[in-house]
Amino acid sequence: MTDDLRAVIGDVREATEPPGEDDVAFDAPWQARAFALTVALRRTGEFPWDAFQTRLVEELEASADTADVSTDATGAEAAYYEAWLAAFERLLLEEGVLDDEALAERAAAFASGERDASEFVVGDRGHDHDHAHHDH
Amino acid sequence: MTGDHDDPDHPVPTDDPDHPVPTDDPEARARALQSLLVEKEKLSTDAVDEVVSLYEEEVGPMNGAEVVARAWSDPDYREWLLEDGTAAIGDLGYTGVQGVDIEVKANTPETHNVIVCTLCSCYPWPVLGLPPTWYKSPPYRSKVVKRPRRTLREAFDLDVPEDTEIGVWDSSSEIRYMVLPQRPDGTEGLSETELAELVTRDSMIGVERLGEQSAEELA
Repeated sequence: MTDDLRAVIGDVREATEPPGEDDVAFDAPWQARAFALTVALRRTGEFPWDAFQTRLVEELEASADTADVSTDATGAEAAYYEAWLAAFERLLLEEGVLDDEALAERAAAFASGERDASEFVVGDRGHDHDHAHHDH
Repeated sequence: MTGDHDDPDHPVPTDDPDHPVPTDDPEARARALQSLLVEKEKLSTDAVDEVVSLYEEEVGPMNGAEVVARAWSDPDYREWLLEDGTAAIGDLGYTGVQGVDIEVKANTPETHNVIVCTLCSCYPWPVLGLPPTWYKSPPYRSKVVKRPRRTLREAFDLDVPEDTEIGVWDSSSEIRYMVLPQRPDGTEGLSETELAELVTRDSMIGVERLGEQSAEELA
């Protein structure tokens, strides 16, 4: 790893945080989905946070061994959430929540276009509660 | 495998329908997880959407800024915050994952604090939102622990005075840290709302220092 800290940290900062622009929480929809699934399932008490975090650490270690750490900012975010997604998949498979083959089959169905994200919208429309605006 | 073929009635066949080829497409994999978890009634799509909108719209450094402004204005709150960060932050309505505590480390003229997660990306979500890309990057995670003073100077243009000690706080699955910056000089008459506007995300991570700056410089 290079020892030029300005290059390895400062450049990532400048690339990902252009002055005057608002922070964007997620770079891509799948990253938001991977994050939200994990947090939402944690809220139900399905698994302790540790169980996920241990696997995230392992996945990040594994990806750091192979990936070039000085990739561009978009690449850095994607690599991070790839590790996140892999950790969450492993958690669900290893804890027996999901089945390996069923997951591969479902992923293939989404990849081929046989299924699409409209199935996530339909469920939402069935509810009668007010989506207009909540005060917090 | 491709996601953009033309005929939706004839999806790309796999050689053996019982052993589909695993896909690398992260969107397809994330959707598959959601689809199966919803089908098994482990989750609702509403619950997933709620988390996304919470982190996109409601949780962010403005929460931490409110905590800091309260601590600057109210000595009792400050004491509580430093003793039991989770409770004092929860009192303002910001709570996180159950079982994860937030500890607040106060900067003084003698001590500067900076937070990191060397193993992954633990971060005080309820007060700061999601971490910036650089916080999650391997170089930050390793360098700020080994060479904090140099990292702050070279990567963040922050010169911590030689006689100021630097405390590096490595987050874990049980404890996340937040920095309480020093209140800038010349801010005596300001309201909590005005004070909160001076507080930056980076100052609560500890890669920026507010104490040496005056209110005019920050504005």
